[in-house]
Amino acid sequence: MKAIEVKNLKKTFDNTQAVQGISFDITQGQIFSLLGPNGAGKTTTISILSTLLKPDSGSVTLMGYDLKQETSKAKACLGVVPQDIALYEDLTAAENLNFWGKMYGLRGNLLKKRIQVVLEMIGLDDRKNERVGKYSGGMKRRVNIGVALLHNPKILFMDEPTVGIDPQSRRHILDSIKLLNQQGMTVLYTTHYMEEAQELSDQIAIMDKGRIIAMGTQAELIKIVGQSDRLTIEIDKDHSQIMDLWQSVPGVQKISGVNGSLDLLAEDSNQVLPRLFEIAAVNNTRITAINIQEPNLEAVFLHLTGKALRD
Amino acid sequence: MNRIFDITLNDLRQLLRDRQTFLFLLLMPIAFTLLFGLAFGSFNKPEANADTRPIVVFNNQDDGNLGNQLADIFSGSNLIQIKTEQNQNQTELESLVKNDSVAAVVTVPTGYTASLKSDQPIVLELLIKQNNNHAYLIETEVKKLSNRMVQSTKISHTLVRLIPGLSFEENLNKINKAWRNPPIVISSQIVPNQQNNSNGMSAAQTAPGMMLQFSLAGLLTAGQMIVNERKSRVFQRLLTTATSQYHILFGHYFAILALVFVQFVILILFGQFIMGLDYLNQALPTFLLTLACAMCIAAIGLLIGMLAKSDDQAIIFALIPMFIFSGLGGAWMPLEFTGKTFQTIGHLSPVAWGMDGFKSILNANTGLETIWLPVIVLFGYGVLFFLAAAFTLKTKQN
Repeated sequence: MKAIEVKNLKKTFDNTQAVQGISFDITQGQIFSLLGPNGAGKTTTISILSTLLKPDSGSVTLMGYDLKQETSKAKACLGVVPQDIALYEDLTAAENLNFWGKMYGLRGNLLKKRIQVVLEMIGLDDRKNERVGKYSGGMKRRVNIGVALLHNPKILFMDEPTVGIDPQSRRHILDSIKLLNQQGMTVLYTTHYMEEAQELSDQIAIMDKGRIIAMGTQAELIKIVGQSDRLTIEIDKDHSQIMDLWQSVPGVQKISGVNGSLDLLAEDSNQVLPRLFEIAAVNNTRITAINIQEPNLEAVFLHLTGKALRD
Repeated sequence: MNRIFDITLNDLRQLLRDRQTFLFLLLMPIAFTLLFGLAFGSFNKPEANADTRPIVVFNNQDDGNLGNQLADIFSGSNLIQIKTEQNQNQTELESLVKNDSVAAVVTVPTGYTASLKSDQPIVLELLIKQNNNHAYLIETEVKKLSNRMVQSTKISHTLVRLIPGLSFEENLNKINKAWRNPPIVISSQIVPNQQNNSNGMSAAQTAPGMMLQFSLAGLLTAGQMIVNERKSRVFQRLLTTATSQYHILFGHYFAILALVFVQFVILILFGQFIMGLDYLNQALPTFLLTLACAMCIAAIGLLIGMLAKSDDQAIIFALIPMFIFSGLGGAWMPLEFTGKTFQTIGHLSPVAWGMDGFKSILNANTGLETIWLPVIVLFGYGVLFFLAAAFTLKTKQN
């Protein structure tokens, strides 16, 4: 069964087309990642799917409920983890969960039970009576996620839930998502961290400038770039001069640069690198660092857009 | 409905944890009421059996005996206190009124007796300050008592014409004596304005004034709370649940309403038991007026929360209406002290209607009849501000 079906979704703000007719569907029990740089349209998409924004056109169904016609039924299936820490900082974690549980329609013993389950899941049971305002960034993020899990939703939207937190909390969050998914929860995950998308996702849609430019499993996406290596080379001068020279080297497929750092896709880095050094030496350019990576989603993005994910 | 009250309780929990709430809602209004009270001597309580009737000088310049009979009639009034005077000149009498030594001066002009005898009565002269709290009462009482004399002389004239040999003056005496024990008596009395002082800055003015002013100042914490809810995206997250924006709007409104209403109740009880103001003598009018004020002020708070984009703006948006509404509405100085134009402009402020209501409860003891208008106007303002808040929210959502 399809948990989420999105057809030809469009949204324009003033003169900016934030989402330009995207379509995708997610099978129940999958983790689906929207991967793209900032401004790609990921948050706009998730805001439309969580009823915060009205699309200009297109349709969305969640667990078979049309988002426009059966909004409350669709909302009942849904838990949303926003990018911001959307919590009451003057209240304790337990008080926050109690309030949000009520907003999700939980009452009495069921509410108490769910609060306990969620507190244990997010690992804050022993600190539940402390004000959220006093928590670290990672702990706040965990409560932020816990709120969305209170009513045990069938679908979970997570909008960049690991932004700005320590590695330990990130690990805890990623493990929790895997656990929830194993229990049957469908997860729509947005991120600009390629590693997270690679680790978590059954399906990945790569977004750029409001469009889905590629979609499939990780293996399917990597096939797009073939077996190219990705080289990140740092030089001691402006990248613009040498970029054109390196572009002409046989075996270099794509090249992009920013602030003395260049990203290249090459068929075989072993063959290409000596030639690159040679050209650099002739042009009095010093190579200060090199990083070689096997094909990954970053390379796919570079291949499809001509720029790195971080640009 | 459950969601609305859950939001209300959640707001109250947050507000009560904020020390600013207590500062603005209770400590400052009490401190300022006491300060103003001490500054203007509002705490000089009158003695228990003191005569609280306004003093009116009876300046008899009549050269006949009917002026004295009129003095007798005046001294029988239970609404004004008569002080007979014959030797002071006009300037001295005017200064007595000007410096509030007496409330008014009634002058019986020379030829008063002759004018009554010729059945062409001349009018008494009344000297009174326009802004005197008792001006209307004194005018009415003087008119009533002087009319009684005029009516007595008219009856006497008629009887003399009908019954030959009847003496005009003897007959007039009998009629005036009969007035002392009339067949029907309409009892009226002045409720002692317990803490009124010479310049009108009574506790009955300062206590409601500070109460209304600081209920507006207290809105800044509620405004900040609503702003923070939007800034932290909690508001948007609420909309992803089954909660609608109207649940949120009413939830916040009831929280502010409850807070402001409780603030009023505490300050009214403070006024009642510490300052000796008698709100509870008029319990129902006090309750209705308090509720109307709280409804109006809570709607202003909601509007502030919807309009402000930051904490700083919430503070500014709360302080501006506080100063404008309180200043214009007579919370700092009685509107009766100002001209008619200012009084009209002042009544654009809801505070003016609140002040009218509370002062009529504390001074006039007139029951429900004089507070209906303030209650209706305040309720109307409340509806208006609430709709403005709902419109602002809708616009921002779009």
